[in-house]
Amino acid sequence: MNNPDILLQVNDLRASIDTKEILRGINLTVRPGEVHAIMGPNGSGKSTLSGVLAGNPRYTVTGGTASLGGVDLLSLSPEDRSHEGLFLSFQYPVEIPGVSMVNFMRAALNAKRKYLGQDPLSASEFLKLMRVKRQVVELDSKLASRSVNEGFSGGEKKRNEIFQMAVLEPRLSILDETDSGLDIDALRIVASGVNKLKTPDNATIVITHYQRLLDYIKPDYVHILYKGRIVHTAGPELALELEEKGYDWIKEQYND
Amino acid sequence: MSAINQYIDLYRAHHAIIEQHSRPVINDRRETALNTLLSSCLPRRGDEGYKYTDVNEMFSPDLGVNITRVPFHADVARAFKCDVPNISTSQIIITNDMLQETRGLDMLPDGVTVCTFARAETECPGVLERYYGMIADNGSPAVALNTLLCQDGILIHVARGVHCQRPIQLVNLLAASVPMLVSRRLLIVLEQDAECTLLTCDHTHAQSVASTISQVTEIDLAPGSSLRFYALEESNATTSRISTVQARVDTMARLALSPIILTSGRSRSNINVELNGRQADCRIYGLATTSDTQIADISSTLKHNAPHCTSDQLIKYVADGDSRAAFEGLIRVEYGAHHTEAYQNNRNIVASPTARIHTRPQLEIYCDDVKCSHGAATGMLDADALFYMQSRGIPREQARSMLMQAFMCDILDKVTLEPLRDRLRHLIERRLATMADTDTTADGRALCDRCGAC
Repeated sequence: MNNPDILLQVNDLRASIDTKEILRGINLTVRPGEVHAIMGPNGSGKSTLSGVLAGNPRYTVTGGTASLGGVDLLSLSPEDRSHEGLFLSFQYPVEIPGVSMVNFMRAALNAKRKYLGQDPLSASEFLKLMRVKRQVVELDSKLASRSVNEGFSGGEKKRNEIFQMAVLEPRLSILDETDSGLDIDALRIVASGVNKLKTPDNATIVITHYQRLLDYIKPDYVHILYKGRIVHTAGPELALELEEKGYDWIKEQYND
Repeated sequence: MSAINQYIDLYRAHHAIIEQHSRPVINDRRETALNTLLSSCLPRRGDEGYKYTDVNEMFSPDLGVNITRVPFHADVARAFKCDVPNISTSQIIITNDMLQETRGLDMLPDGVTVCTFARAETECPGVLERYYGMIADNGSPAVALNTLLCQDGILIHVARGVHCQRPIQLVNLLAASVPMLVSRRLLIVLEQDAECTLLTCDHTHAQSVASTISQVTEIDLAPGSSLRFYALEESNATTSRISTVQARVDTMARLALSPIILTSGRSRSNINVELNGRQADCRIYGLATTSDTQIADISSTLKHNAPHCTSDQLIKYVADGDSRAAFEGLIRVEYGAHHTEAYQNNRNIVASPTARIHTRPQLEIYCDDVKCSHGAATGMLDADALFYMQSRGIPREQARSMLMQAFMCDILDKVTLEPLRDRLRHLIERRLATMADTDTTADGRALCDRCGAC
């Protein structure tokens, strides 16, 4: 049943890599217009959660459900999850030598349009769109003619991720440690890009280690993920608390 | 049983007819070839240097040879359009082993001769006598068999100092209504400081039955001359082809050779280059895409016989389905060939669990003060890149195809003839798209009716 108030509904999601269980029953509800931050110590399963939602074949889902706008995500291919409006900004964007950014984005966008029953964009429409969207993250036009992420600096790679997000206009964006490897200027540009793309109809999940990013992208909720479960949820003040106290108190409280 | 015997018998029974349809110089070379064949066998699978290709088996069927030179009534060839867009070529169209038609040869500059061996004595006296059968190794059974049965061929001759800007295109079309052995021969002679670009396109007509093509190309490059040679093969599963390219490159002459195998049945290419004069240069940039049960097999031997010569080789394969691809390359730096620079690299992608790629880069150095390297790497498509592309909405098959294309792009970048490069890019894109789609099933398309190269 589709409740328009709920964008992402995750119930008791369990997943493993090889035979090791990483996610041990995740519950999460995200509504349109919300920003959720997921924090947690290293190895708690943050990247696994984003990978499982996006459909990375490295992970095996062993239980639970996840739906986006009422559509069962787990039964869809990664490309169809994207078409349904899910976007994952990679912690480590992949370099693809020989595939130009232009061809990459055109293939992505036209695949989505096809899925939605729309005609492909003409070359001029497409280039115009690229131009407009590039401005969101102040991405150099030269990068568009280069191979995907090849030789990009850390900051350029992350800006490129947000650029792709701007083009694909997802309903739910998951930013997996988008702040890692960024200097303060790049962080500001990336965060401002994310904020520009925010609408009352879409939502964002920010996965991060640090409170710093949350100064720029204000969360409505902060969740603490520990040992494959969301163990604590509160308002934005929780991020500040974590910054001050670290994760030790969480570890003590929830070490089972 | 050796497959050679039936051809020796055929030759002995019909040599009068064979010779009657050939120029005397072609007949003069048969004796040596026959002697080779009487004392040798064609290579079989598993022989040294023949990991997957069974040459003996290619010649084993009861293949017909068109010794009486019955002309081929080819609406096929007549309907056959061969235009690389935005590029004007002068064309020769060969159906099986006979000249079908020429187009635009009159537009070649003075000093450039393109003709059949039959007309060579008139159009370019002395050349055939001097070079035919003198470059290729008649001790090789595959070459000897070609020499034994060859009745005609194509001569390309560029006179001293002539730069032929207009590319010459040789279209080889196989259209056999019964199983045939087709022996094709090409002789390319560039006199001092001459330049020329050649594109060969080998195709098989869709209705053609299983046949074998034997091809020998002899190349002589005089000092300072330059040949760019793009050899495109887009045939089909019924076609077996063994090709030998033997080139002699003299002082400061340059040879750039690009074997491009898009589709084939069984394809074996022997590429033998001798760098015989100082500062001679050879570049071999080739690729093959195989699927289904195809075999693509390139074997190169580069001999550095003189000092200060340079060579560079890059061969890339993508093997899908149950296909097999092999590369064996030898760089041999002879005594006295000091200041040689020679590089060889083979990079491959195995795109399916049942495809196999064999690679054997070899380097033999008998001289000090040289720079040489060789390398090979075979891997699978990058799983992380695939997922990244899928996560952006690019369907898996399309993502696979894009990655395979990207893998081939540095070979294409080496193609200096821009319209040809664009055309090849399109052909490879189309080829890899069908590969990615089908993954394993035969595509069996009638490639030649709408000859993509062309």
